[in-house]
Amino acid sequence: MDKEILSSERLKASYIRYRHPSGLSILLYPMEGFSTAYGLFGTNYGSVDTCFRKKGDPAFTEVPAGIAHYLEHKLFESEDGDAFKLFAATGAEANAYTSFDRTCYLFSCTSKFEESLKALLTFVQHPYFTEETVRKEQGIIGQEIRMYQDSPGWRVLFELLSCLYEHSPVKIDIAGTEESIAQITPELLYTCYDVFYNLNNMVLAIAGNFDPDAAMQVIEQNLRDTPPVEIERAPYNERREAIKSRAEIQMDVSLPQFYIGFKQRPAEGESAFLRQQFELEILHELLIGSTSSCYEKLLRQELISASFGTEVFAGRGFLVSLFGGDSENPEAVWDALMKEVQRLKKEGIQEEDFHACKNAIYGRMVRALRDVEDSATALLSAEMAGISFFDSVQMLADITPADVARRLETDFDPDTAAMAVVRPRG
Amino acid sequence: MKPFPHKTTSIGNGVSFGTIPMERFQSSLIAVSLIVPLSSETVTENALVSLMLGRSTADYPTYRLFSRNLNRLYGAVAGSSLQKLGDEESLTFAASTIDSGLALHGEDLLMESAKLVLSMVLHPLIEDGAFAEETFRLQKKYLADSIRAEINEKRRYAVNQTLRLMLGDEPGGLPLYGFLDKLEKITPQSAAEAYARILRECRIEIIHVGTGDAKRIQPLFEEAFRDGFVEGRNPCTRPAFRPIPAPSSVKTASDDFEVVQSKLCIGYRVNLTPGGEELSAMRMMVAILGGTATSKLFLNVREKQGLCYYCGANLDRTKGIILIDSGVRPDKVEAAKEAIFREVEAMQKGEFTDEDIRFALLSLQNTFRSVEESPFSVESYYRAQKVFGIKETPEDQCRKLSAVTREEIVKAANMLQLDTVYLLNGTASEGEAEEDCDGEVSYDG
Repeated sequence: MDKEILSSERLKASYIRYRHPSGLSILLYPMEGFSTAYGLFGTNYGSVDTCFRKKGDPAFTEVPAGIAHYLEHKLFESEDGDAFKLFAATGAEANAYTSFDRTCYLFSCTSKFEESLKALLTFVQHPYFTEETVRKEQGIIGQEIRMYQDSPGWRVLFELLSCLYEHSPVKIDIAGTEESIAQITPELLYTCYDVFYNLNNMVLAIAGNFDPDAAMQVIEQNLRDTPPVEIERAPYNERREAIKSRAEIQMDVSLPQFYIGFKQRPAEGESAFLRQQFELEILHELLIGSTSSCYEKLLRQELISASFGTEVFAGRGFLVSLFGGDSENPEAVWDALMKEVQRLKKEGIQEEDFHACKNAIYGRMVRALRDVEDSATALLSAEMAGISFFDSVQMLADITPADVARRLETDFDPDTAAMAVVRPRG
Repeated sequence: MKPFPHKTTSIGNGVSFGTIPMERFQSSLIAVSLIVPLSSETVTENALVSLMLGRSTADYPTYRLFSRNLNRLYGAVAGSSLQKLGDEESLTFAASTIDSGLALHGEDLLMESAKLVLSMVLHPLIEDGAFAEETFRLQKKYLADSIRAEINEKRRYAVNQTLRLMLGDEPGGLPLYGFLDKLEKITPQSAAEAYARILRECRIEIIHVGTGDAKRIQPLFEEAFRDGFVEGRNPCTRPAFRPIPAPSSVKTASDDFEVVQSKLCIGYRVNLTPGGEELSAMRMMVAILGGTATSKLFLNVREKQGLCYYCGANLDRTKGIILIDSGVRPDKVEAAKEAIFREVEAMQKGEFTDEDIRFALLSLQNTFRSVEESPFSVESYYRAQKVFGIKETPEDQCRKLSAVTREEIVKAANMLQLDTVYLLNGTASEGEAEEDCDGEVSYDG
């Protein structure tokens, strides 16, 4: 088995990476002094992966929206009952989440680490779907979908994504719709499971209080062999421009909430894509972050408040620069942001501001390494982006003001932007 | 047995300085908490003062300059927060930075963050007896928005409504952000007076957690809070714990909202004190009933009967309240309510297994043993211990939990007195999502 020790002198940290013959990437980061161990078992599979084929298959398979999330729920069930029960016996706290392009299963424990790890590996690798259990889940997930429908922030995000994307499933709720989940069958779940829960498509990251040798022993004994797989996802031909520039809904909110988004073309190659995301993060801060003159001006005019924030909304096949918050007058925020983009393009980037932004991001990455949960997540994310965590820190360090200026030119065209608003009923 | 890690010394009149060294975080957190009584007269102005102090200071007069300083300090996290501690509230000002050893240019980050915290607490933007107009205007608006925003998230709104019904005018039931009508009347001058009052009456808890030698920063705080740092100082004393009498009859209330999921909240009273004898048994009871993914409410009401999307129970030890909150389909509310009552009765009759007890214990122990995994949870845990006059490490709590017997759990379940049933009634029927102006519905019901 291929073993590497990755370390950084600057960050005073190191972790172990194994490439297991099964295809699984294993990241082990023991942390001295902590009492918790955190295990994260993730697959490169999320809500956007609804049309795919294995290399060699003649045609693409299309599956209903929300199936990745459904699968996540159903994996907790086995012939012998509920996986939560396995963890209850170790005292570990177990959970799972599905995002647009990733599904992760996790536990956090302060004792009986080996049993908890075994439980994690066991239930994720043993699917058990029957007509009856699949049908039963529709009620619970239907309620989850409804609950999110009542959340103004969630609703307005998908309104925006529908302005930006015509075909990509990213515009559909991660949990799908009540109609789409009604089409899910045990066969479809097995199809998705067999393709995406192949260990070649997965990463296991463990951080905190545990013994790496003991962990490897449990892992060796509990990995199921899977034949190598190459997954091809159907591309979505999205046009460069936004589909429409505005959307609006009404709900019981006290103030209008808005999202402004610029749709961007993800850079080719995982590593270039990650670098693009760093550059955008710096740009967000320079444009309208809390240290910018634009933010200060909008704050003074009471057009934004502390609720305002920015996000690089990125995943496989999609990328949006997001700006959102509460405002009495979202149109005025839109105008100010568009003007600021033009001004920054013309006047260029201040070196001092640029370096302060990089410092802040560096600090956040350093902190992540001192938190059991954050570190496992950060290591897994970097691995899924095809890079080591330390290389990603170096990647950030290498970014220059000129890189960021170029990014501003290419990724902030007003034609690619849209705004969605949820207004108080009236 | 490990010694109690929070070492404190008195460094002034009602001022305590403490340190909890923890090398593993490779970062430090410094928090100054001003602890004052909760009252309907002062809660709103306290919230406004806390917001203003936490976003700009005389040294960093705008939020932009304040934020720039944080970026310079490697993305330091700093600001203010409010927390209820029984009948008192804590106005906490904190700054957290990475360890100086990780700084790229040799900055003394511990000292810088100590200075930043002191700047927030003691150098407000006050001139001629009034807060600066701009920070006052912006934070007042932000506070008003935040008070109004309660309605946006229905789960939180339903829980708060239930607590309001249960606690009425009790200090512990006051909303930390205060009241709109009170906020309207605050002026830059009256806010400055409120600030001076807070400094006069508060007890001050200073806690350092993480890396760096606390002895280096202690003199800074001794100097800042030396006797006479504010005129007429008379720190408040911890009020005695007051049990809230049970209501003569069960209260019920409901509100209609155009949402698709209803929220059902059921509030019980229990006669508890924060560090009291029955606390461990009550924690076990709540965990078995609705605190874990193998609890009765989760397994039976959610998983088996499919009545709720979420359904769990929470204990508030400071007010003696157990709250069960759930998200339910509007047509399943009655069924869910009955199912929840059935589970409570089962607890009272002792209908739970030894395995339930074991799982609850393991889960609670896991929670307590995870307290010392982040500087923020360490600070807040030990601050609450200090305020309530308790000296128990998370490990002590684990030991007490493991000594709880089945009989004590049944006894705890029988302490529950039903107080309030609140329903946030969802009136939007399915598929009736509101349409946007050009008629496209992108979110299917």
